[in-house]
Amino acid sequence: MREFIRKNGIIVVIAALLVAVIAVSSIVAGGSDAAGGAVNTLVRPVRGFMSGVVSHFERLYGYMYGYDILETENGELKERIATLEQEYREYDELAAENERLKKLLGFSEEHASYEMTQAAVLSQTASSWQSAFTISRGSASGLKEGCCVITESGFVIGRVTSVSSSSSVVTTLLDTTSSIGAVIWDTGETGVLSGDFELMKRGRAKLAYLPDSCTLSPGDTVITSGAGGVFPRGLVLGTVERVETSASGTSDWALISPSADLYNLEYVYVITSFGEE
Amino acid sequence: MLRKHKKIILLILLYVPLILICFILQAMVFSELPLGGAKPLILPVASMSVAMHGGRVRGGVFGLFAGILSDVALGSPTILFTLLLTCSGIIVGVLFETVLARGFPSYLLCCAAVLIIAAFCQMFGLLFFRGQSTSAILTTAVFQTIYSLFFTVPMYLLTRPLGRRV
Repeated sequence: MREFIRKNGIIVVIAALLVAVIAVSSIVAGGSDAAGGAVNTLVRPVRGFMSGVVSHFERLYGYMYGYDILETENGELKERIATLEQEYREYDELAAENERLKKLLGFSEEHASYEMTQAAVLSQTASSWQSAFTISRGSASGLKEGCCVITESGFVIGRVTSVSSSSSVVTTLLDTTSSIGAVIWDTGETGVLSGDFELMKRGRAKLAYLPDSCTLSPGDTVITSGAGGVFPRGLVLGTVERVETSASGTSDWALISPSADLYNLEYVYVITSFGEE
Repeated sequence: MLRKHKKIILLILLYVPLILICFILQAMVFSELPLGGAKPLILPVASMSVAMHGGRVRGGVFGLFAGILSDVALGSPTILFTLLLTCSGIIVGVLFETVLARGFPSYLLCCAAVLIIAAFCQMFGLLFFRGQSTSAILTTAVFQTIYSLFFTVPMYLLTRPLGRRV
């Protein structure tokens, strides 16, 4: 016995300490079954380690086995997203076109005598000194120099100033060469809407040659007078932003904000002929 | 003789894409990207670069076609740029063959001079006949010149190999 203790004493002491620690810890843990608790305590780290290893291998297996399926599924989903995005874009375009055509229909019904051609805006002018753009219709579509160009809502954009067989140049009402006879919708007073270089850079035009007794106020609508025969009467040019007096102090002029959004045009409508209404 | 013809064909093959790219950039790309209300003139810058690296003949011929395309791009029926770029191509070519040293600073100077002349010609009518605001016109001219000068570096680098090797 003494021989046994001398040889295995340390092991026996460690085993006894281990048993004691397990017993104490299971009592502290409050387990009713002290033996079961002790075994559980002893096995818990091993079980945790084994569980981790198994779950890792499970994940690895699942990844290897399911990768092809996931890849296929991912590809299908990407295709589906692309199709939906395309459909969404088409829907957006159709909705915008529908809106545009509705407005045009309303305008056409109001002005049945107008003959109009739709044209796409191709590019803005490369010149820093003009306000003009190129459209996709030319003399082959019946366009002529001087034709009036409007939006689908009937807001004046400008006039055709140069025509080739398949494209034309439209000079906007902001350009310094532009001069349009105008009438104030509310008061009936007349003036001339003309381009001014400084105002052109700010997207505005000038309404000059107003009568002395002019009673303009901001927000008044300015329409075409029809004088000169280039523009039909009654098309909307813009609204009065403010009224100013000339440097000499002898006459008033008004700053006009065009009703047409001249910087975001996609399609325009060229009035090729208009009868008396 | 055959060698000379081959050289001319090669030059055409090299300069035609260059002039077309410049035209597309000026008329369709940068016309949508104004800076301070001004749009750049790229064809005159390319024309000066060809005149410097290639000499008066290439400068004149390139200037002639660049001028025609500029007039088309700017939508004006005048022949302002056709005349201006042809003459300046020849003059700048002669200057670089005789008195000026070939290098970026002198090229930049020539470009600035041609762009200022172009801006002056463009604003002449507005300034003297239509009574428009002088400050707005001058501001646009300055912006147009500076914006156009941004293109001197790529044009210089692009046309240098064409002038030296062909």
